[in-house]
Amino acid sequence: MQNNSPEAVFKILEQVNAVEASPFLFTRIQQRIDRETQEKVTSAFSRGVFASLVLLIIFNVFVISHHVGIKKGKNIAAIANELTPSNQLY
Amino acid sequence: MGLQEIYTAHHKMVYNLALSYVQNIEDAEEITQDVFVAVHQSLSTFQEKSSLTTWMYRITINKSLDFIKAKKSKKRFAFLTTLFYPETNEAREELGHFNHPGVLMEQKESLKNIFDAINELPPNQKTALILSKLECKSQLEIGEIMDLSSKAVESLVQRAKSNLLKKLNQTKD
Repeated sequence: MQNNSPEAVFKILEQVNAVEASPFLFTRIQQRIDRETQEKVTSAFSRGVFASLVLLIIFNVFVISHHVGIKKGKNIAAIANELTPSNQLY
Repeated sequence: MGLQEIYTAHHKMVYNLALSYVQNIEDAEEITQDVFVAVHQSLSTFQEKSSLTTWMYRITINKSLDFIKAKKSKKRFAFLTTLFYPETNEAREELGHFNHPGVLMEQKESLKNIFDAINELPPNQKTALILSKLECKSQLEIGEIMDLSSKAVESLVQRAKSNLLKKLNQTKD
């Protein structure tokens, strides 16, 4: 039957021994660090490529809409010229 | 100081402290890995406001408590997934089994009961008790690690001891 007096409980706790970790633990830690570093680089590269594509699309949309706007402006000017070919009243 | 040097100087402390929290080799090794990966990531920002050892203690305590929290969370949702291996239909080993390598065979049963009771304590009390009784730290050292005054540590350790004995006596009944 277990003795649950404070002295007995803490005496047993004091008898827990410190132990050595596996000799390969540091190797596993290094491998994990290398793996996580590699994943970070890949992730950063992917995000960079994605951001570049988005910027490229936005730029293209801007250029196209600006070009369409100029064309529209030119068409309106051409129509206006047709309607009023001359300022001469006679 | 490089990671290898820090590991050489502190891995035994980290591993045994983690063992005090989880009481099995596999989990303690995983926590130790978490600790040294965190040390590697944060070493350049370590401001030396405390000693390296105190810093290592704090990281180990935080990683151990995080690990336990995550495991409890996993257990809560375990009913949603099968715990059997699909190929053999065998039950998986219970999460958090007691396999502390620093415990003598003849004391395994007693210590398992004590650690089960310790595991039910609130995190602060559990930490204070572990540092006091297993790591044999003074109140001053515990206060530095936990960022508490000596009086606060004394009170915390007393409450932890009292609650531990209460739980052990409840189990006995």
